[in-house]
Amino acid sequence: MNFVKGVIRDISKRRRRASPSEESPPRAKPKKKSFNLGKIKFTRKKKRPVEEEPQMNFNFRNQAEAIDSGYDDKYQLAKRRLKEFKKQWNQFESNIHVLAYSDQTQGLAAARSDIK
Amino acid sequence: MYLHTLIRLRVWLLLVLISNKSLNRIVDLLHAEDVEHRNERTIGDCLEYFMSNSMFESIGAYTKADRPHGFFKIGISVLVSIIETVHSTSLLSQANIHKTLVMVLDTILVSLTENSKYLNCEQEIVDFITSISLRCYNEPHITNLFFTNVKNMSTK
Repeated sequence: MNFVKGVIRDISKRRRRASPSEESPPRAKPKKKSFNLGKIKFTRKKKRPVEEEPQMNFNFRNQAEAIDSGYDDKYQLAKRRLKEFKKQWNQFESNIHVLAYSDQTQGLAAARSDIK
Repeated sequence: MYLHTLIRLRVWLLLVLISNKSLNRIVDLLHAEDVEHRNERTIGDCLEYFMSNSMFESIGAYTKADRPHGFFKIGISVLVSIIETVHSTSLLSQANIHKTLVMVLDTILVSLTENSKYLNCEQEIVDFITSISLRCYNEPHITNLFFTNVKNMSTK
């Protein structure tokens, strides 16, 4: 008997939850967290959302956007500079290599092995 | 004898024209890049390539060996320019760079005490030592690098 009563109670509870007509009364707003310290009343202030600093966006949708931002110019300049740098170094190394070995270099290998 | 001197002179002129031009251009590019990256304290592409390909070591090796003959003067002035140019990073605290500098300093010391080989390059040598001293003055923590491994670095 008790078992049957319990089942009926459960079913009625479920129905109450499911039926939108019988809405539960709105809950009372939670009180502000405040505390008294003698006569002075302190109330906790709400934290302000921290404003994020604007960050540089490198996810460009197309080249035009990158050009507008000025990033592409810098990138192209750096690329050109590196290319020139490599070219100059290769030119220097090939020339100096020829000249050094034409000058019967023996100390060079010793110096390089010393350093490495 | 005359022909030999003429060939050497020709080689010397060729060296001055080509290598000096290339090296000066390299220093200019490093300077231009360094000016951009100085505030951010980051390494640019050229400086990264310079370090990863041990270019400083190579210039130091040619300078130390003085091959081709007379390169010591050019090499040492280029090393000075590079030391004075790069400020975006602590250049001298890089292992391969201070090692090279110690080697060149060692060569200078030996040449001045024993054979007086580089007496015609006094100004360049003074500039070289001054530039290193200035960097040590600005960054005192690198001073130890020039003293700790003196015994290991000695060629003798």
